[in-house]
Amino acid sequence: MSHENIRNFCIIAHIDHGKSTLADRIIEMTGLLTEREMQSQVLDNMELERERGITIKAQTVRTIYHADDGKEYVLNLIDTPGHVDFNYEVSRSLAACDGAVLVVDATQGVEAQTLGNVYLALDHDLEIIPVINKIDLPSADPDGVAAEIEDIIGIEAMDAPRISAKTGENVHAVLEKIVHDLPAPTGDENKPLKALIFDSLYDPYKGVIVFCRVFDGSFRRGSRVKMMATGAVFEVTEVGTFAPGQFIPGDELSAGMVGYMTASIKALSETRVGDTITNADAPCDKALPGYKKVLPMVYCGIYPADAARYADLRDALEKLQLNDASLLYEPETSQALGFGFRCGFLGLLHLDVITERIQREFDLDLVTTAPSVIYKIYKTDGTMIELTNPSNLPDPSEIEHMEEPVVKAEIMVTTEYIGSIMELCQARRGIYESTDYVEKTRAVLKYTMPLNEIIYDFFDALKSRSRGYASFDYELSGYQTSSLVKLDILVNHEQVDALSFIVFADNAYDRGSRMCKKLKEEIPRQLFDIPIQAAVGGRIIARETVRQLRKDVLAKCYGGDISRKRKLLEKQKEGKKKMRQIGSVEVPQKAFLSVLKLDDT
Amino acid sequence: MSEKTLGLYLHIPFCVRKCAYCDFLSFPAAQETMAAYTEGLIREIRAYGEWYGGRPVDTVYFGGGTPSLLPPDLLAKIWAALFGAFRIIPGAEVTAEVNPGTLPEGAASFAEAIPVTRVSIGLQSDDPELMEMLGRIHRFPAFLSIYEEFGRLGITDRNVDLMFGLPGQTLAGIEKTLRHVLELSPSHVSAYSLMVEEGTPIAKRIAEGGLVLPPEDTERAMYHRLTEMLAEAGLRRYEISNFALPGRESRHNLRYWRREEYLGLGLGAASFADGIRYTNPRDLREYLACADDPGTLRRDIEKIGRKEAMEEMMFLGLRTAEGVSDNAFREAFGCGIVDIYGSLPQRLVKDGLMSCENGRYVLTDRGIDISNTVLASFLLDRVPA
Repeated sequence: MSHENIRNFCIIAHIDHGKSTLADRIIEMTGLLTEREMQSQVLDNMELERERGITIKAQTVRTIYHADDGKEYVLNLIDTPGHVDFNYEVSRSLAACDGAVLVVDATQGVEAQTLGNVYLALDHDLEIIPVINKIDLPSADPDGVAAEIEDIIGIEAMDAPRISAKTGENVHAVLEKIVHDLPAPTGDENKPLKALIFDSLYDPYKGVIVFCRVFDGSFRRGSRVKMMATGAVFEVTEVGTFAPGQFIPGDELSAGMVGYMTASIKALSETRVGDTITNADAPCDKALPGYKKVLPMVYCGIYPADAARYADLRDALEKLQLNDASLLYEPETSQALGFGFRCGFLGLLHLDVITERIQREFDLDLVTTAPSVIYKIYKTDGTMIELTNPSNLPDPSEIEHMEEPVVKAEIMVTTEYIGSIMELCQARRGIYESTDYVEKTRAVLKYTMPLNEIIYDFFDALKSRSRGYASFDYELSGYQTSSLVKLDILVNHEQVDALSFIVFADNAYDRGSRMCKKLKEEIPRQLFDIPIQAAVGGRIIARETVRQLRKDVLAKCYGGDISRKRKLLEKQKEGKKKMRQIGSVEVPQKAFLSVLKLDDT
Repeated sequence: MSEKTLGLYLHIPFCVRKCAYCDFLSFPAAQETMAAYTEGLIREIRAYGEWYGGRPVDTVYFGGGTPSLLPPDLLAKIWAALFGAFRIIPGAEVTAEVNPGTLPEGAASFAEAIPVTRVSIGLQSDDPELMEMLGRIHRFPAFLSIYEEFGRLGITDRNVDLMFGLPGQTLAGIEKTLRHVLELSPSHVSAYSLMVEEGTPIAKRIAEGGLVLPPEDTERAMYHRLTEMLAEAGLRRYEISNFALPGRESRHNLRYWRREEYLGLGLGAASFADGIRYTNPRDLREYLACADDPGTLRRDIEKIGRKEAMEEMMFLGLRTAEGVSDNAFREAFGCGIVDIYGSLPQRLVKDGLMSCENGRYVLTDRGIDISNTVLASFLLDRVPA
């Protein structure tokens, strides 16, 4: 098939605007699957993704479309994740495309991530087709939204297809637009091989499966290929294309095509996403630009609730990393929690998703410590360390100064909540930049804020102060010098390293006393009084006491129903198992996340 | 034939009106329902008689609900069936729970219908305001009159049921109630701390803030004070909530803590026999449909193996004043308590929650206050060798 009939594209959208549903309809209408085979959201195949209704892991599908012009087209739909934390994955998916379908909700209009995704797509020189979805809803305002797209984004939208991905209404028009308005891939089959790795996953039988987009040249089973960045050379054992949920082996991949290759590759590290594949014997002169690898911004300690399951946790992280190269981890130990790992994440949602997947897919109960950003510690001896674990902070006498990461934050909010959101940003040490009104009732607030103020409970605070209407995006903008201290927590006079966190000096007292109050709520009463103290540099700044247990007695035994009594005692014992022993005190796992819940609104 | 004794518990699930704190299996009912239930209960009695009729029965307990709400002719039928189906030995303890304001034909007809040797009277409180709050239908004078009436009938084993830790109750209030009750010289007192059960009217009123429970410290002070006052009157605490003159303990109650066997007959009743625990259906129609078929009647069967038996011996035995002796444990299981529980008993002694004298473990007052915590620690993670 000629390149003329290939379209490589992705669908981009704000969360919940219907990206996955549209993908389902496209797959259905191009006839690759029978209706019976359709699960409701074919692309989102991870259980967790389906539950949250978000796409985390990019997936790719090839479908065949018989267009109205009588020709047959190959549509390579490259799925992209929908959340700001996963911009990295969005970016690498976009690099494999020539065009993008932009889905906008006819009831919600343009949202923060609509813009974020459009900018990313424009960065990759993609042609964009706007589509207005959810016209079946009574509050839909397709014409208003079309005008909004033209005003805010600046792309032609008056003839954008008005569709309902849910009912399938007018999705046909989207397919025709894809065929007629998106460009066919360019590239020369006769030039040396040049293919971009945009994803990979590990299969226990085939080794690493490399997802790639071929820009020039071609290769097939038996070709000797070279990874330009790592220098590794492999003999290709299989090439092919993607069907929903499966791989279809083929003869060759050539310029313009999207597909996969295997080569008995054992280590993911040899096939970096973003690297260029070329011929081992006649390499191309220059690698593709690739794209910037996004580094983790948030770190936290992850420990098995049951210390005996350390090895299981390690296996779980290893397996997850095969599918998610942005997850970093290294072993660490804590006095309070024993053996575990310090893990790096793209953001809080990423952290949340990974910990939930570990608990669900590997059946492991976890204790996670307070998240931390990367602080730069400049020491008096002239050296600098990057601190990811607060308990490793050097003695204050050795510190010359400290720097913390700051982000540019954009908050889109309806005008009625501007006041309370600005108050929140100020309280979080935000420096106001500007307010841009996108229309009468909505504005984008721009702030420069320390990342450390965002990672704790900013999302929740934002939502509760805007009744869920605010959306939020941020990007790292650099480091700034700050007056920071380490806040330590002592439970029954013992310092608990897993509860330490770094805080802006002026906020230490406030945070410390709230932390003590929160822990007092989380730690159940025990046999004796338990003091909970917050300290900075050895000086106690706040204290609460968990009073000793006074009463825990079951008076009555109903008509000799001993089994009922046993059940009550067993429930009590189960609760105890979910506790961590700190000295002689039992601390519930969720207490370690108290620092995330200090906002009092 | 084994001469191991057996206890019988009969559940009468009816009451005039549900009390505000009650989540037990009871409900108001029409005469026809009571008759139908009596008929079902008799079928169950006969069916079980075929299995267990040879065993000597030395305790019978009519609980509820309100057994005294049942008309005497129905009670007499139940007793006749019971006497025909089981070997109730002379001198057996026969207890019935009785509520003031029920007894449709008076105490004498009741005692004629069932040859009770012991009655347990639900007073709960002598304070009219508290009784109103609890939703009790009677007041102190009604209690006093049936208490005395049973006395005149020669039934001197009389228990008075009391509640403490009630919203609005004070330490002085419970002292006054105790003095009032002790003037009557009862042989037995049960004192229950109010348990706020989910879904009850009282739980709702507490959640809404209309009622306020006394602080835990006050509630515990009430318990310790009433224990003291009862002891002064010669009523010794023999189980966390039960107090009696020496020799006047409820033998049926002791069966539960001593792990002796009993059959629970009637709606939702619990049994322990032949190494299993089980309960009857809690739905009346379901119960009546299979009352005469023990094979389909039993629900929630729990097999009591070696592990469960050890746990039970500890968490039931420790509720009593006699506690658990290492000798008894050895006799039952062929190994000592420390062989199974390691350093746990010693730790609890060190923390002041248990005492140990001559190999006998008993909860201290502090251990009783937080007994769930202590008792739960005797549940085992794995089957001991």
